[in-house]
Amino acid sequence: MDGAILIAIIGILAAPIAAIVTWLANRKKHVAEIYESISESSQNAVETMQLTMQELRIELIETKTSIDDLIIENRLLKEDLILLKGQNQQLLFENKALEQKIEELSRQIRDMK
Amino acid sequence: MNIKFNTIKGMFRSNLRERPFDFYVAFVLFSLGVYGIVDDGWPESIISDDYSWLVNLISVYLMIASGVIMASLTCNRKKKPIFALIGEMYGWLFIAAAATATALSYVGSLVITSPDNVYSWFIWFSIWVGMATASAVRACDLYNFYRSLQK
Repeated sequence: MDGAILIAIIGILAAPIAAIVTWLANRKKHVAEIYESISESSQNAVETMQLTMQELRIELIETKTSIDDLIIENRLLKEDLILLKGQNQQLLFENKALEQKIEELSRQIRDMK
Repeated sequence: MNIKFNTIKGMFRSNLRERPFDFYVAFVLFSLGVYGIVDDGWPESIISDDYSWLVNLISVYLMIASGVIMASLTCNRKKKPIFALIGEMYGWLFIAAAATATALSYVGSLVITSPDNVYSWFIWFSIWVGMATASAVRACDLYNFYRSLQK
């Protein structure tokens, strides 16, 4: 085998060993950095979740307020409807009385003729 | 027994289920490494008997690297995140180095003597170059992820 190729092969085989030895030499630092990054991302995720939950809570409170308003409006409308029903009954009663009066008057006119 | 089953189930839930083909390739390379050591006639015929130590060295590289890849793919990533990442990254780097070295040994055989069967030589050379490229790409991908974790 050609000497240059042999040297290239040995160099290529030695490269990952050199890389892993370098990594192992700085292992503590690298591992600490990775754990720090993981904990930071976890903390960020927790903070994001908290913010989302808080926003959801605010939205829920707003929705509850609008539902309460709707319930009050609904109650008022119901009361109005009851009043209108009463008025309507009164009008019907008056209407009946007027009808009777009209009948009586028309009977009187007929008798007078 | 139940604990063992749960552990195996846990393994399949993590990296192994996401990358089954990586595990299979690592297993094939491990078998190839074992074969390279067991069978004296392979592939010394390509290099020469004088450099059988080189073939054995590459076989050991393949065995160790693929063993580490298989271990990192089956380990619990939550419990051992550093090993899962670094083991796989350096495993693929070692595979890339071993595959490049094998491809170079094929080139070396071409320099000294012309191969008996050019097509066979070219196919094997392409396989090893492809293996080296794919492994290097995977190692670079994992290195980029590792760098993104450090930042």
